[in-house]
Amino acid sequence: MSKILVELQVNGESHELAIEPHRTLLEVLRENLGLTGAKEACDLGECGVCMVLMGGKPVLSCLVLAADAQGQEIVTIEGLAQGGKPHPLQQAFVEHGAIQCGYCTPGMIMTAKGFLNSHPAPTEEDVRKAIGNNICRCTGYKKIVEAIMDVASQNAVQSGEELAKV
Amino acid sequence: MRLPPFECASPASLEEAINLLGQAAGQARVLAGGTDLLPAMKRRGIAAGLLVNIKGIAGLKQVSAREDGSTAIGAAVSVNEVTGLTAWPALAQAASRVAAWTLRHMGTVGGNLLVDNRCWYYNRSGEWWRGKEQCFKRGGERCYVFPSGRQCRAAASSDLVPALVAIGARVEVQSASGSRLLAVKDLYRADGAAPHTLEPGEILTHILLPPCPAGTGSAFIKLARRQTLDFALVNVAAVISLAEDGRTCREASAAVSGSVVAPTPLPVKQLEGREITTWLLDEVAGEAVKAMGFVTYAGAMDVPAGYRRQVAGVLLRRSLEQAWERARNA
Ligand SMILES: Cc1cc2nc3c(=O)[nH]c(=O)nc-3n(C[C@H](O)[C@H](O)[C@H](O)COP(=O)(O)OP(=O)(O)OC[C@H]3O[C@@H](n4cnc5c(N)ncnc54)[C@H](O)[C@@H]3O)c2cc1C
Ligand code: SF4
Repeated sequence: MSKILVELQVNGESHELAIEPHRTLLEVLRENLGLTGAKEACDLGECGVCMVLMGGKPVLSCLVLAADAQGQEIVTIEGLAQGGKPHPLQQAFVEHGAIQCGYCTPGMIMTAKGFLNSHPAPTEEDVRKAIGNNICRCTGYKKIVEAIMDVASQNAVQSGEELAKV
Repeated sequence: MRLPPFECASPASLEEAINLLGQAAGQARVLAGGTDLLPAMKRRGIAAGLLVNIKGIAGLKQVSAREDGSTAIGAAVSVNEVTGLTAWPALAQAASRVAAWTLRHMGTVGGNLLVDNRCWYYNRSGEWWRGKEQCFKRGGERCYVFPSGRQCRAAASSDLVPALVAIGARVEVQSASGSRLLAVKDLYRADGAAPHTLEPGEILTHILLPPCPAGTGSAFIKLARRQTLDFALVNVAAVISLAEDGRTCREASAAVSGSVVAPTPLPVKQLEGREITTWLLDEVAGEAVKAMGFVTYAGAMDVPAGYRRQVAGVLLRRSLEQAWERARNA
């Protein structure tokens, strides 16, 4: 199978890659760019650990062809912290103990980030539904929902300025 | 699970996409959101040498009003966008129950209409199937769910389809030999192994919603184990239009999916010309649900057919009542 040239914008950096057309964005992020924050688990769109932002929206990178991600701004968990300072969502996950084994955390945070981008003042039920595509087997979701709600309320106070910067 | 190798084309126009599909002589598949196709290819359930990505075709990504009053939804419009279309509440309700929010902005309306039928056996990995006798849907000669069956009974699983069938929506389909228009219900056949009537070179381009007449209400109800990210065990949609007196039923329709091989219209015409009462709804729903015919539990085998049939009756009754209430307030 011949390779194709693809230019990807990931975490603000541009990468030119020669890849086979059937490779997924997840494979390329992990194997060509060394960004292993997004995880490979079910690989069928059910578990959410591969979630990254594409054009500001969360996508399951296991179901996106890398070639299809061309021309779109991609943000992975590695791109959230700014100048060594964790993103408010990352900070809130730490403070609320919303992490146990940590495996689902990158996907969970990227979904939350994408969700808050378009829903700045959600209810708790909205948040529970928004993370319906992300499976966590440790925490029972309670602390995760609390962490996201905490950022949503901070967000409301700061009229979204801080989050919108990323 | 990794994808097998294939070529991928991203045409900018519909003509180009149709040419590519025509040239590939059945070896190509349309790629829209990929949320159903790519998992199926990973599981080695579907094979294709060429994927024709239609997301770059601007004309397929718009919702527009047609001169005849209908609304044309481009096949590549996201399911999330449909949750915001308010003309037919049943359709918006159905859209908001598809998968999860994350999958709904990836998945398209056209892909939702052509989502593959589901089965506990079929949906296992290629690894699981290795060395086993293949079932009808995998090109073999047996069924694991219904061992005495002569045909695949994998379950129709789209949430939008029962709503679109009840509404009386149509689809526009194009190929090298021209375009055709068909009722949504005619996109399906009762064979789980080949559940769609589209020919290999054809692209579904638009879904056409009729204008919602005055005094009309519609509703959709889905039973699944979870609120999000779960295929329907049963889903039902109903539409009721009232006459000018606000009491007599002028027109009624309904459809069921999830536990059937092809989405099935349910005959609720008995309501027409009569004054609606809750008793009448009980009676008509109880009778109409019999038209479901064969009830399949291939999608989730721990939920038996008898229960599904009973639930379908209850959901039909409830969706008729919700549609009636909306019609009175319309
Ligand atoms: C975890 C999970 C849960 C899900 N839950 C639900 C659910 O609850 N309800 C539900 O309805 N769906 C569900 N889905 C299925 C799917 O996500 C949606 O149905 C989605 O809308 C499919 O659209 P798509 O654009 O991704 O389709 P694709 O995967 O791109 O395509 C699906 C099929 O249609 C063909 N196709 C697509 N567009 C066209 C076209 N315009 N012309 C001709 N052929 C075309 C493709 O070749 C393919 O065979 C779920 C999927 C996953 C992974
Ligand atoms: S219902 Fe269809 S897909 Fe499932 S085992 Fe039987 S033949 Fe295969």
